[in-house]
Amino acid sequence: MRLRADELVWQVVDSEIVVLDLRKSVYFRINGSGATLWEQLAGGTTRSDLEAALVDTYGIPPEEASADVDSFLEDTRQRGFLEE
Amino acid sequence: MRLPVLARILGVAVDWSSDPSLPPGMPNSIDVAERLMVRNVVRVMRHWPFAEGTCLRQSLMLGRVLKDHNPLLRIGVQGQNREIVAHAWLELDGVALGGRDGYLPLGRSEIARDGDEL
Repeated sequence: MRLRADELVWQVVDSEIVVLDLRKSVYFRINGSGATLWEQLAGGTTRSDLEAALVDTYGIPPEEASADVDSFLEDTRQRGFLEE
Repeated sequence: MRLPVLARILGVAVDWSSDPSLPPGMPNSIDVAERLMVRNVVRVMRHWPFAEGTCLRQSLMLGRVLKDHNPLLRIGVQGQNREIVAHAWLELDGVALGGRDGYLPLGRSEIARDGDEL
């Protein structure tokens, strides 16, 4: 899965990711674990790699990483940001 | 209307990909008549009653005026006092018209980490 690159542009600013949704001309700010997951999705990834990225970066248990990934993917899917 | 569509109608391409290192200035390729039009657009926009987003409107208008120079519209962001501020400018003939004042261009690059070679 990956981000819908034709509809989104972004940039890293002070450890946050600023995203512009070109369809709606709306900006979003993503920080923390969301920024880590966005980074992975920008290059194309799998769900298991997303969970591993959170475990590796934050040292959290796999169950917590899985819940965080679920929440993030649900949000990005609802916004139409994902290409699967 | 989406920005890329509006920009295309006005004769300005929106660039999400190029290197953000162009120097600020006025291209030598712009002739006297075009420089006068650029100056007039800037003067009018300075007094525009709707202050929000004037950099984008100005860039689109300038892009229309200078469309024969194949201008590229770029949108950038930077942090200011914990807020994110956006800015728009034109790039053409090797310069960033009016400069980009430290704004980082929005794009689709994979995000570099510390230590990555660019």
